Order: sequence, then C-alpha cells, then structure tokens
Amino acid sequence: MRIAIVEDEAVVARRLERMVREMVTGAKIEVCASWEAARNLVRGSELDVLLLDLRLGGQDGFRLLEEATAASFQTVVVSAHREQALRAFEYGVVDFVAKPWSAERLRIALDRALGRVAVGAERARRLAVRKGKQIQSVAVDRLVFLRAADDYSELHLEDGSVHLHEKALGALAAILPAEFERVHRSYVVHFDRVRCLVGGPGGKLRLVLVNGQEVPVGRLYRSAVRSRMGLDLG
Amino acid sequence: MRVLLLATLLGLTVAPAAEAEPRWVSVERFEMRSSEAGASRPVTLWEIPAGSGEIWLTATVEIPPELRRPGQPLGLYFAALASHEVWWDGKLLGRGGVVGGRAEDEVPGPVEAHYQIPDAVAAPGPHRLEIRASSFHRGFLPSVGYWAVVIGDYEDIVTGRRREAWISAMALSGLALTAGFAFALFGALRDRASLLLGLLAATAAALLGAEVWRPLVGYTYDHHFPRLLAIVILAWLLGVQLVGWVVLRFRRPGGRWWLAGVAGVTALAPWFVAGWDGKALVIYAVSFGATLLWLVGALTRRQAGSTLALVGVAIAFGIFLIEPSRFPDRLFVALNLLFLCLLVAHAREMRRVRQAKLAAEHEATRLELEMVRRQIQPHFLMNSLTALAEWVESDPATAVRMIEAMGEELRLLGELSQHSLIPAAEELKLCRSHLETMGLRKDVRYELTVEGLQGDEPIPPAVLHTLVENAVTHGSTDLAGAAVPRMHLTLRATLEAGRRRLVFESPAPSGEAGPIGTGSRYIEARLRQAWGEDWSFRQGPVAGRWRAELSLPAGAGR
Repeated sequence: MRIAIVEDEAVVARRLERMVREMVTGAKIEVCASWEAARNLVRGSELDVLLLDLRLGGQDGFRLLEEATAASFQTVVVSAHREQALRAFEYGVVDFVAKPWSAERLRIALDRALGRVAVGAERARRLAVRKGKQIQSVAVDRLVFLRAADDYSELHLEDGSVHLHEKALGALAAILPAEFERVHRSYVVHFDRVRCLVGGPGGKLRLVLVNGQEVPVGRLYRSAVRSRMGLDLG
Repeated sequence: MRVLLLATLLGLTVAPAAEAEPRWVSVERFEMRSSEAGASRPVTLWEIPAGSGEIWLTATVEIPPELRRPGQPLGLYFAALASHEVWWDGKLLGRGGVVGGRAEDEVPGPVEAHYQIPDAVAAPGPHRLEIRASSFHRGFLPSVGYWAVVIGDYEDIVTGRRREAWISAMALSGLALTAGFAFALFGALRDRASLLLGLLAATAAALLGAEVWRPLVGYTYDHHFPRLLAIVILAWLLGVQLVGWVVLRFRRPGGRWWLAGVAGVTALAPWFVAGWDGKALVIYAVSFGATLLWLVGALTRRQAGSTLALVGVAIAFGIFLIEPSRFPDRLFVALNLLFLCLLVAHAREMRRVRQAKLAAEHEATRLELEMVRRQIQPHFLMNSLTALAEWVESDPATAVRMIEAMGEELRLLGELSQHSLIPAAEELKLCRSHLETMGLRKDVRYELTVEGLQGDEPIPPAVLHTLVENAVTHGSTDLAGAAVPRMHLTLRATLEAGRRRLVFESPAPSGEAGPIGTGSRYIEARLRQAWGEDWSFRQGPVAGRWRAELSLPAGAGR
C-alpha cells in the first residue's frame, strides 16, 4: 500500500503522516512539499492514495488535481479552504477533508479512498482522462456506459467515441454520480441512457441503450437493475 | 445659469454709464482774493493754491434759459476739502462747517454739499456767486483741494448722487454676505480656504465701503485723508490676500516667494507714485497681474477649479485695464464678478474635498477590514489550528508557545489595523510573532535581522508584515522542492537626502517571491493613505534573493 502526502506545512504533514500510519498498517508513506515534487510523484510511481493540499507556496493546485484524478489511484483533498470542496469533488476526488480534521473524519476518507465504504453524496461532474501528455476533461453527462478493460476502464460517450481511463471500473463507480449503476462485473451504465430491459435465452437479461448498443446484466446485479427500472414486483 | 448671472452683472456696469443728457453748468473760473477786502486775481477752480488760509472766490454765473424748467428748483453742488459759505446774489445760500481765519476758529465742513437756490433769484441771466472758504484741517497737501462747483436742476444734483449710492450699497451688501457665508463655512469646517475667502470678501467689502462712503454717508473734509489712507491700505490687503488665496488654493512650488514678492512690491511702489488714486492703481495692477499669472500657471497644470478662478480675475483685471483711472468707480462691478467666480470655485473645491475625504474614509475602512481579515483567513487559521493540534498531542510545551505567538499576532493585527501609521517597533513585533507562529507550523527557523531602525519611526501597519508573510509563503522550499531548515530575512533602514529607505530581503529560490496582486495592492494603498503620492515601492529578484525597497518621507504622514 503506497500513500503520498502533498503538504508544505511541515507540522501539518507530520500529523497527517502519523495518523495515516496508525490507520493503514504497513503503508509506505511519502511526503512532498512542492508542486514539482508532487507532479513527479503523480506521474512516476504506482500509488494507491494521494492526500493532497490544494495550496502550496501561495499557488493553487487544480492543475495537479486534474492530473491526479486522471490517474489510477484515488485522491483525497486535505485543505484549509472548505469553500473549494465542491469544485474538488467535481474534478473527481473521492473525498475532501477540511483542516483541522478529526481522526474519525480522516479514517472515513481513507476508507473511501481504499474502496472499503461507499463514497459520500458529493460526486464527480467531470472525469479527467490522460491522452498521452495531455489531460482531457470529459463531462460525466456525456457518458453512456463504462466497461472494464483489465485495470483500466473504457469510457463510451454519446458521440460513439471511446476513452481509456487509468482508474479501475470499481474506483470510477465509487466517484460517479447516482445516475450511474453497476450492472455487471465489467459494466457501469448511465441509467438516463437506458431504453429498455430485454430477456434472452436462459434467463439472461440485457439493457438496450439509446444508441442501440446492448449491455449484459450480471446475475449479481439483477435485482438492483430491476428495482431501478421500476420492475421490482417481487 | 452662470452665463445668465454674468450677463446680469455686466448689464449693471453698462447701466450707470448711460446717463441722461446733463442739465447743469460747471463753474470753473473765479476771481480769488485772500481776505474780504484784498486784491483779486483770476484762477480756475482746481488751480487754487493748496494753502489753507481763508479765501474768497467770486464768479458771475450765466443761467441759460434751458436750465430752468417750470416747477423744478435750481440747485448748487459744491465739492471741496474746505469749510465754506456760499453766497448767491449777495445772499447766504448755505454753509458747510464754520469758515475761520485760524485753525481754532474753523469747524470742518462736509466734502460735498448741495443747496437749493430760491426761485426768486434763479431767473435766467447773470448771477453773482461768492464762496468764502478755509481749510485748516486737511491733514495733508492735496494736489487739488477744490473739485467742483456745479449749478443745475436740483433734483438731478441730488438723485444723481443717490443712484451712485444705492448701486454701491447693493454691491457692498453682496460682498458682506459673501464674507459672512465664508466665515460661517469656516465656523463649520475649520478650513483655511474658507477663512481666507471670508477675509478676502470682508476686505473687499471694507474697500468698497471706504470708496462709497462719500456718496453713501458723506463726511467732513478733515476725514478725507484717513479715508484715502484706508483705501490704499485696504487695496493692498485685498491684493495680497487675493494672491495668497490663489497660491494656497492652487499649490505649486514657489508660492510663498510669489506672495512675498507681490506683498513687497505693492508695499513699496505706492511711495513712488504721486496721487492717491495712482497709489491704489499701482497696487491693483501688480496684484491682479500676479494673480492672473499664477492662475495661468495653474491652468496649464490643469489644476481643478483654475478655469473659473481665472475667468473671475481676468474679468476684474479687464475692467481695470479698459480705463484704469475710472477703476475705483467700477470697483463694485469688478469685485462682485470676481467673488461670484471665487464662490463657485470654492463651492466646487469643497465638494471635491468632501468627496476625497469620503473616499479616504472608505479606503481606511477597507484597509482595516483587509488587515483584520488576515486573522480569520482560512489558510492561516486552519493550518495553524491543525499544526497546533499536532503540538498539543506531541509536545504540549511547544503548543503553548504557539498559542502565545498566535495570540500576540492576532491581537496586534486587530489593534494596529485602525491606524494609518504606527511605530516601527510595533510593526516589528507583529512580524516576529508571525515568524514565531510560522516557524512552529513549518518547522523552519526564521531569522529576521533589523538594521538602522530606532523603533519610533512611523510606518503604515502590516506593510512589513505583508512582506514577511509573502517571504514565508514563497521561500520555504528550495529549488528541488524540499523544505528549507532555516530562512534568513533582513531589513535595513537608511536615511538618504531626508528620505527613509527601507530594504527588505528574503530568499527566493524560484526567483518569484514577492507579494503580487492583493499583497502589493495592500502595501500601495497603505502608503498612499499615509503619504499621498510621496513614496515609492519597488520589488524584484536580486542575486537569488527577493528585494523589496520602500522610499518614504522622513516625517509622519498627513
């Protein structure tokens, strides 16, 4: 388990590091205090969680945040500026912890980042996607469905284009808004884009989407899909 | 509106000039003898020698038929610096004062007198006029002691003087009102410009009063000399105050010298000019000319209100230049037009000053708020509280130190924010408590070296604090992004050519470390609040460090 802390306040960073170490046993924790170091960390190494302060040396860090949310790991913002929480969530962070924090609040954030508990009500409005050296921002409303592709995810958009996101499908599902529903081990669907539910041989169910594409419904997810479709008649 | 007022006042100037066709005879040639029985010689009225003894003037006056109108009495007007008796066809017409052969015997008579000639002896044709006069109480040697003997329509003689008097009285009340208004303003506002305008208007009113005293009230001839003296002194005061007012109102270097020069020249020049009218005219010429020149200078510098003041003074000076010798008669027009313009200019200036004052108050409140807001600024407060939580758990003694430092900084920010200038020692206390707090937050040893400051020098609050704050924010990591273990800040104060120079230096590894945007604007606004535009603030990277330089006046601000 690798956790990185980006924080230029030495004592604040020390506190964060100490508390994370107590909560996540065996974690390898790195601390950096400048944007340059943080950028190298985000680009170069395999992280599981990034704890990010959005203000270092008087400069704000939304550009780095975009790069971080495009990556495979989950990002938690730890900041004094509570007023920036909404914006951070829209960028696709998994949680926002305001300074000064309590141990319980930090624990919830870490659990959310590690996929142990459901994420709060605030969700991403955009997904940052890495395209070579560039970061492209995709509004979640343009998504039709998402499909797992090994450790990555394919984003299928309304215009037929497909983008590859570095996060695993589970991590993306955690930060996407409520319109999105996991319907299969490998599929997440934007439910406003569902045309109908059809049955097939052997009781297999499929969702037909507005663009004509079909998505299979996994056995485990049947009841959730049915209730969402208003077919939960017992 | 202004054009209308000017037109009305100009109309007043023209009106008295359009006089009705004269219906009078001026008697100028006399036979003069020094005693009742002495030998006589011919003389014209204004050539009568200045000697003060008793004299007899005799003339034969021809009354033309057109002078006599049915039902209208005939009159005689006499103006001279002498006591007199007027005899008409051998009968006493009237007397002004008591004529005497010695000063003790004489009682001074009025400078102007008019007598009605009885109809019985006013028929057209020749009449015998005799005037007995003496003048022991003149107090000075006038160039002309006898001014006029005029015979004409009695009504004209009396009303002509009265018309002159009521226009002057109106003008006088206008100036007195202006003075009263300006003094009332001074009473309310306690400003120098209102006081000076009031004094100027009061002087102008007094001058006009002295000028119109003769037609308005009249006086015995022994008061003529003091009146002339008063007119010249008041003219001098008016001229000097006028220059003083424009120099004060439209400031620029050399104003004192300009004023002193005008005061000196106008005080000396009259001694070299003959005649009392001439003395006053020289004073008017110099002072109005100097005022006009100063205003032209103000206009080329586009100083607010200079146009209107220039128009007023130019009109007054123009009236003077058209016919300098008649200027005293037209003084009331010139002064009223001048003061109309000065009052309007003054009112505008007051509005401008009031607006500037409101803007300054607003700015002071804004700056105070901005400074107080630093205490609750989330980045500062929340990071400090988080660090404090860490110290409470890991090292309570350090936590206490941090609470004390934060408490000191918050207290000072609140206290000092209301002032536009504070002693440098207080500001340094604020900076050091900030560095103490930040040191405990960032685990950095901050050192602030101060050279050349006594501690009592005035400085706007939180200016150095802003520089320190920015140095800490921007200079706490090295180029590789690693936190620095220690940071050295320096502040050097020097006195150069009467100005204080403050140089603040901090490490700037990335080459960008100065307060930009809000911080810079705060510093500039504070300096402007304290010293107007008399300061400079520059900053930039110098050899791997960030340098901020302040050049300030040596004294306290405004």
